[in-house]
Amino acid sequence: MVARVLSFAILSPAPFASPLALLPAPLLLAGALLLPLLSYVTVLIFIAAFTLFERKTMGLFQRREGPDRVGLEGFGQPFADGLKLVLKETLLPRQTPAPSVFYLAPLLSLTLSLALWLLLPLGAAGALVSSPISLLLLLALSSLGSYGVIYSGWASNNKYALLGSLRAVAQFISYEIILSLLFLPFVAAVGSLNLWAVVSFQGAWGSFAYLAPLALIFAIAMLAETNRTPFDLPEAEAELVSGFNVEYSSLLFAFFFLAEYGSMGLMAALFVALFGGG
Amino acid sequence: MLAGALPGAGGALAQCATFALRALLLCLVFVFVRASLPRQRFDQLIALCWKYLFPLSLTLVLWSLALYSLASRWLRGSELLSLAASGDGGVPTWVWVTLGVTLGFGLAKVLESQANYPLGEEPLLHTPDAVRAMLRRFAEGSPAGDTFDVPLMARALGNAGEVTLQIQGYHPERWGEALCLLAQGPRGGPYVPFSISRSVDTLLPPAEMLWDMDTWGALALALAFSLGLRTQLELQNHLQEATAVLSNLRLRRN
Repeated sequence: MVARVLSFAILSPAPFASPLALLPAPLLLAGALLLPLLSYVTVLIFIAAFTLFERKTMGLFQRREGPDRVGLEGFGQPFADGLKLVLKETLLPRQTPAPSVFYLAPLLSLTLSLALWLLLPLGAAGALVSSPISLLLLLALSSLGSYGVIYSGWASNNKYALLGSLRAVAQFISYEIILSLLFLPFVAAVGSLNLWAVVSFQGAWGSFAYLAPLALIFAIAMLAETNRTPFDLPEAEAELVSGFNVEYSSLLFAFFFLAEYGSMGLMAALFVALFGGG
Repeated sequence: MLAGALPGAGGALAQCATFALRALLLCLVFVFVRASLPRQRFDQLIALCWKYLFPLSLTLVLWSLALYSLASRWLRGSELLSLAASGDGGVPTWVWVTLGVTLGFGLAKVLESQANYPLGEEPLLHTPDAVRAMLRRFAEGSPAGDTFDVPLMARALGNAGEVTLQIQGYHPERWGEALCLLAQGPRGGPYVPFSISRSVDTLLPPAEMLWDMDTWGALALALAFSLGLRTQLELQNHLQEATAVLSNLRLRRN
């Protein structure tokens, strides 16, 4: 019985499956370089499509059109926005304590947010980065994300940015505890810290119906963790102008924006992987 | 299900696609939530996390772990449950931990009530009429020279599970203030209407419920337990102020 559990979680059918393992040896290096790039591009396209979708839907809710000028029915809007951000000037706040920190903080946020996607198993094919402890890695890397926010708020030399970043960090840390608590029943039931094992366990035996009450808590924590609206205090426009990213413009702002939406998509995918049948 | 039945790379791609589709549906929910809900205040956000979601998720997690272990012990034949982490011999650790936490909590409650009500004062707990009368005299006025045992009344208020004091027009956070007004009596201050009632809900489920537990019963129990814990925390916060004010007072109406 123990042997069977072990063989399910560790040895068979493929050890911590990764699609990279399916590639023949000569293509391995190319695959290891290109497949992550492909995943980044997919995530960025998803973000572009999602922002447009979100603005259109908000328009629908508020009895207005939403973006409808650029391209066919506004479909060019996210790309036009991106182009505009790239063409803008990058401003550095006067008397910033550390310009390099100011420049590196959004890069850190975006890098972490995109790196997390590599840990996510997309069905039985497995994750690009396969690790026996991918759930722990996911938690650890996502909590590193608060450093990008702290550093940007500190390096901005702006009280609104500092207040926003303090709020954001308090919020992230509080809700991360709940998220990591909610991983425990899955880990105990599957007997593995590998996210792919959790997903393929559900593929083999059905989803964890008895954990359904946890899904609501997870959804709330997910909203708070990704700064979505009922809990978007770090960037409350009414009080903090725009929160920790007030001083950011052009590409650096775009990095924060992409990181935020990327982690939102990741959380949604994680929800589906845990509660939505894998 | 359908995608899993397909073989090979096509099946993997189809799985990937259905996975992405479900994640996109969830993102739709994100947008709907954004369109319909107002922004919370920051203290509400943090209170929601630490006072509501954290106890709730802790108890739910413990109970779901215990449930899984118990079920895997009882229903040994099923394929799914044979995959439970510790199936061979002995009661699983999680059962002990959960029962320990629950019973420990119950024991702590018993000890707490013992500390609040030493043996001589037990009637207070079961028949609060004497205290009720005293509180009524306290509020509605009585002859000069009447004395009040304020620590006794404060204990009655502090025992939230048994006696509930309602001061109309006053939020529980302002009960300390209201009681100070009450202490001044009808001549010294405004009349403060209040009522005392025995609360019907005990804060924790009875221990007998632990022994005959099925799946849904256990889930309901977990919910009841965490709600009780939450209510307990809230009431303790509210009553702390009133108790702190009252336990230092010895009042004499003149």
